[in-house]
Amino acid sequence: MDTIITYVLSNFSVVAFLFALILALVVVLVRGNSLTDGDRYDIFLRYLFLFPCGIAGIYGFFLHGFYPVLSAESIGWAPSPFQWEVAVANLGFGVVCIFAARGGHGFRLAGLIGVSIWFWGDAIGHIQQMLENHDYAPGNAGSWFWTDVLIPAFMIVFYSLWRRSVRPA
Amino acid sequence: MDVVTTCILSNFSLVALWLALVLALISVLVRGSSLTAGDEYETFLRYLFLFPGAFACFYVFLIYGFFPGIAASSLDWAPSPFQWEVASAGLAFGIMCLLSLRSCHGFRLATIIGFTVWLWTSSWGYLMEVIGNDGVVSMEGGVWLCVDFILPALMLLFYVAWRRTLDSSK
Repeated sequence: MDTIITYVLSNFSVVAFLFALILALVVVLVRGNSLTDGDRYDIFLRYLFLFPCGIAGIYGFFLHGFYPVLSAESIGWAPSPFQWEVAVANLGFGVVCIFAARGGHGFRLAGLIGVSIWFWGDAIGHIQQMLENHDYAPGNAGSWFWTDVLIPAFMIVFYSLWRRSVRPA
Repeated sequence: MDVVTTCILSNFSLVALWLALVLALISVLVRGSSLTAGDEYETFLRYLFLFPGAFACFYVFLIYGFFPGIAASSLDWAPSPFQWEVASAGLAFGIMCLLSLRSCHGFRLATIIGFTVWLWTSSWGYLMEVIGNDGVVSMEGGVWLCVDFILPALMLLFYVAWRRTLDSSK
């Protein structure tokens, strides 16, 4: 049990990402024919905003803000007071994404643009650390890096599909 | 000249805030009676999004991302790779603020919520550090701290006033 909890907490973003996709798929399958295409894309988008961006953002806030040594070690970096600034950025984007789960298209677009730049910007930093310092620690080159790359791409696809399907022809 | 440039760069957020308020006031006064109350609030909101919002965030992106040593020494902290993550957040909020200039109310609301949570919790952390440091605060740190508190409050104020005038005119 301890191993599972440690795995989930160490790979929270990928767990939240997969959880969002599976949950959205189950909801779409259960509600079946009563849904339009737009509803289906909206459900995927909503769960992606909520779990891997919103709740994982709040988790990132707690981890960097209150357990800076633990989080720095997992990335292979030294603890730093700048982690508080990373923590509050996580909180800011996390709160926006939780609201965006139920927001209109303008609110969601803002959340999507912000999260995409933030996640992809972070990914560039992690790549730089891999190339310059050969840092392949799990927090730098593991699941957190891959979710930084993949989550915005999935969200952009679902947002575009959702907007196309709800826009009058 | 070097002293003026150093002073502006060290207190960039405060300079940007004052510039936004002065330019918005001039814009409102020049355009005078042709503006509704909603237009006036929106003018202030736009200048706040542009100068202390977008430009100050881009400044954070540049100084944290490309001059981490200078940024760290201004706070009396050691440089760290975490600065790149702060730089990315600065770039993200900067682009959100820039796009908010011409966006709908939902986009603007998302930007203000994110920006407010970011700046207020950031300054709260810095305030705790100052208290733990027997109230000793550097001049530059103090300026950023004040602006971090005031700017979101002004944005919220003008956003609510703008939305109210729009709602009441319907």
